[in-house]
Amino acid sequence: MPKFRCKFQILSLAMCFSLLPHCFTAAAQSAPASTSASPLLDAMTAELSRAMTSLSKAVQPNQQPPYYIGYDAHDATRLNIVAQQGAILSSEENRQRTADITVRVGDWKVDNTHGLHRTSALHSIELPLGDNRAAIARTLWWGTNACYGNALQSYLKVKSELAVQAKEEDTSPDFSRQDAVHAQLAPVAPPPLDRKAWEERIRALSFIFRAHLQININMVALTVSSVNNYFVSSEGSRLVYPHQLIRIVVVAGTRADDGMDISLARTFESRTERDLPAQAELERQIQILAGQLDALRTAPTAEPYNGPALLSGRASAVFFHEVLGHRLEGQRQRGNQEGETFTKDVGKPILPAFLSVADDPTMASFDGTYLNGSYTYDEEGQPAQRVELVQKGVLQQFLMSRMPIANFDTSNGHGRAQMGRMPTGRQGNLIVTSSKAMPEKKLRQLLIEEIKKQNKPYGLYFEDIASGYTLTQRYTPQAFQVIPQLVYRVYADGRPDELVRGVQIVGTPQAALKQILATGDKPGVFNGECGAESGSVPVSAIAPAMLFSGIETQKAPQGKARPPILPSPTAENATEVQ
Amino acid sequence: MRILFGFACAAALAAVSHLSCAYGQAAATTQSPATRAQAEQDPVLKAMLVELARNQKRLQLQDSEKPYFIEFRIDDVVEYNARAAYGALTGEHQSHSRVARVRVRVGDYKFDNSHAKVDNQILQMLQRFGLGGDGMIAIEVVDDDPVALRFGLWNAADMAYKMALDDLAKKQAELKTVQTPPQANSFAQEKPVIVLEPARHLSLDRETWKQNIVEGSGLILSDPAAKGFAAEIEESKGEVRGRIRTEYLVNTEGAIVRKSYAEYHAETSFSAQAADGMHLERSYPVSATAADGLGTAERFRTGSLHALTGLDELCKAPVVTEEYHGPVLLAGNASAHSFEDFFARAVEAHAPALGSTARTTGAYNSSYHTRVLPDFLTVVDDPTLTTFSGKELNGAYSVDDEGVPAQKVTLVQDGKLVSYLLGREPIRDFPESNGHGRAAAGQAPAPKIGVLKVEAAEGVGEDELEKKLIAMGKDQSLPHVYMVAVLGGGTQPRTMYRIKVEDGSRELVRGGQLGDFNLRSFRSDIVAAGDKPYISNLFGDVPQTVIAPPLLFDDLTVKQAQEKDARLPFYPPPSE
Repeated sequence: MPKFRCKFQILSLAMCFSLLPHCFTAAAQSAPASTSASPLLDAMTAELSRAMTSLSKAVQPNQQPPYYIGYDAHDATRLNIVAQQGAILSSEENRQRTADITVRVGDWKVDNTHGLHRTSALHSIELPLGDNRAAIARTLWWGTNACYGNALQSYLKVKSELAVQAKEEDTSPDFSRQDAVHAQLAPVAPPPLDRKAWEERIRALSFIFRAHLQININMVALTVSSVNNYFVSSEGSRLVYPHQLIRIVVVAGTRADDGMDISLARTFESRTERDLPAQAELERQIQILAGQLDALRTAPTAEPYNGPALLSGRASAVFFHEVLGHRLEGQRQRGNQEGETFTKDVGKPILPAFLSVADDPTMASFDGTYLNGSYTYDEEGQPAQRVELVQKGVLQQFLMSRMPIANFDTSNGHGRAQMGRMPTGRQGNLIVTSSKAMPEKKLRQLLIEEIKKQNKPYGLYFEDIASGYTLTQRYTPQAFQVIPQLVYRVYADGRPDELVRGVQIVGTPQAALKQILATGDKPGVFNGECGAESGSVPVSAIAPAMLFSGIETQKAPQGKARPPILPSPTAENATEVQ
Repeated sequence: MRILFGFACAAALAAVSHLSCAYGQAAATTQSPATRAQAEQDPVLKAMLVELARNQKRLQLQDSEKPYFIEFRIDDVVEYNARAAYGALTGEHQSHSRVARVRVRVGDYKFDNSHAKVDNQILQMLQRFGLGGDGMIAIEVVDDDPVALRFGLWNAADMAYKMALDDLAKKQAELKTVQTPPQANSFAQEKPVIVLEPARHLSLDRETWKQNIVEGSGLILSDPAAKGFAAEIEESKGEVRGRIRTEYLVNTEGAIVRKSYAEYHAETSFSAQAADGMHLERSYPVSATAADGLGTAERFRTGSLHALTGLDELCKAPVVTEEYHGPVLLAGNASAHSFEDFFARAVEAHAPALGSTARTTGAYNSSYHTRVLPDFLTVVDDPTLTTFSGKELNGAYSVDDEGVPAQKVTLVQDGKLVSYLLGREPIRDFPESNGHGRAAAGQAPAPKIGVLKVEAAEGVGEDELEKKLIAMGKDQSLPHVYMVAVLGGGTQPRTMYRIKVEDGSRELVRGGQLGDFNLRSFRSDIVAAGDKPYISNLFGDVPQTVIAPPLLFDDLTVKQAQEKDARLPFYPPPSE
């Protein structure tokens, strides 16, 4: 089992970007096209029905028929352009149709996915790109056959394990009963893009780093993805819905003289090309990032600290995603491996009473900012729903996939996964709101008062946090760690703020969440990718700035390699050495 | 990743050769030698030379020694592929990438940082990916932008140099813990060459070949000949791809190389299960160094259909159940394959660990000047051989991936091992490279065969060889003998026949495996060779050719392969 439950980050891998669901409002405008036939959807429906019928007829001993089959196909067109130091590293277009096949054997109460066998229900295949029905059917047949074989084997294991193990604490069924979902939104064609022009734009953005001679790692990447989803299940669900995303990721890094590697990242997301920031604005943002990196390189290193701190809205958003959000994912409340920090706390206060938390994937944008975590249907074909998680500090419910837990027996549209992974309850757009909001200026004053009250030489201001991880399993401490990008010392005596590097926030959720004293009045938005057992999914988090009476930090691990010996080739007159 | 050139589906077809390629791949440059000035007209080489000069002059940490050798290599790879299944296209992709590999060596030719013992697990893992040691890789830009190209090289050289210093210190410390000094120098000094071959371009009729693989993978649904068994076929796939690798290399000794290699491959593959559940497969692969070498659509269709019907035949063939000890004939394909699998690795020279008295690390480490094959066999590796029997040889090259010109090497003379394949890593008695340092894109170079040729002094005709096989069976009172037509990987025949001693009749069998088949069999069991060598062109990142005659072994084991027979499909395929 992976030790790290979650990694929230700007990008999971330099070149691996996730797709992003199409915004809800736009999708809803597309006319439900029940009359317009989709040959792919029809072929999937027919083959699924044939599989259910054929497999229920099989009458070998120990060969239970499936009680559920689902086909989830993604027809994805992607363009990726990556540049470094003002030149193209790669530029590729790709179209692929993949399908995740789900087969469940047994019954709703106990099936092949029980306990640690979650993944036994899933099998991924590549589907034909066109409408050749015979080929689609044959591909699905072969995939379903393999998937059923695994499911059957796993079901027999589950049965024998249950026979010898002690009774489980949570005896919820393995799969929730849900109504069939029908929606056939119009598939979208990949947006027409001028690839050459985009290569030129990405090159130009990346060229900015040439002027920053100490930045020895840099990358600007564009991903345009256009996905049409097709979902059918033996429950009678039939869905067609599109997702579109255009995303620019900027990553840069440098090395301080003491060997510490420092990196910063920035992303820009939108649904269409038109909604992206203009080139001049992108350039300005990259200039700012490069300037921050140059400043960080020579900034003093931070010492371990425990005292008052102010987190910007964006930083608080990441903090909540990491520290609270992951612990409210349904499946973490079940099974004897999980830490179950908040499992028994429904109806009890877990946050200060002035805070409420919801997750709302149906929200496509916030205050003009595109939200990465929005979607219309989850990977189990359930419609996305807004879920009130915490109201006035009191825990209400969890983020549910179709895996029930005690007292929560249905999905609330949060069964998410990347292609090829078994869906679990995940965050979409996590939204933290406050009834104790004040202007940020006031919040800063409160910070200084708190520093004085606690008799500290300085407090910390976290302007940006890019990533973090949380441990939720029992054999590890129930701790979290977040990696800030920009941290300042705030002095009580009126000295200007001082940028520091090498800081990590550590702590445990129950202690940390109770230290919030007040919040700002302007929510900040963080768009990123979240990685956990069901893979990398796009997420957003929204929160106001927050004042903490105590935040604990530790030193970041540090390399010992020296900065490059020779100056960057950019700095050299090419004719100097011949 | 290697792809067997030619047919792999049936013995009858294996004899039909499709090796005719119109274009020379590695034809040695016969014009006047290229100059540095010419090299500098190439923007990639120019950027590499400028950055190399700067590093050669100034890459040094205070109080540490300068590198004595730096090498930059950039592999430029353009790749196209399309895939199909059951008569429909499933994917199409084109990519262009460049990866730089930078070698920095500190110390001197006699004793340097290379092959320092790595105790860290992460570094060990990196080394398996070709990192660490004397090399560092960087993803390079595909634009011919000199500054951006140099940026990647600069970063990689910096890291490689620091790592080299660290490794040299470790290796010097390690040297103090062993009694025996190194048996050879760390690195061979070579005369620099300048070789500039033209960069190739991908040329494939994509629409036609997409259509070909779509049709080939759809034969089970479309061709009347497949109707009878279409329901038993499980997977039916097609793939076509083209790949150009252009390699740029410069080093501080003065070598400058640009060379370019093209590969085109198309294949249909089919799988099924016999009634007892045994997984079986057949494929029809064609490869060539120029796109038209792949042949016509008609031929591709016929070959694919033949593979498909061959699979049905194989499904119905009897299983090898009883263990067999006796004579086995390896037809040309199987013989060439076995030389590639067993022999080629044993003749690669690799310096042993520090403190070892061994000459090299392979199976032939102590076999120098001893007999390793019967005395009627001689083996050479000659990468300068570009054609044989009118066919182009894929493994030919003029200069290796360390900038050393290819050389013909006699490895085995009249059965005795007389040399090894060497890159720039010397071993005892072999202080210089013989031009066999070869590398996959972005990977570290290592000695590999180019064109391995097995020559038999007293080869006999095919018929006579088979007669001899049957006669040996008769002598041993065996009811039947075996002939391996096509060998898959290692010891697993793809096509094997059982020949009745009584009347010489052949019967296709499945589920058999060669037992006790190893280098000892090569030394002691080969009793005769054929007179018609088979050409096996192996494609992949390090293209190779093996030319070998059929070989008759007097005592091999054929036994049932230890494979689990899986369940047959739980329900039938759609009946369309």
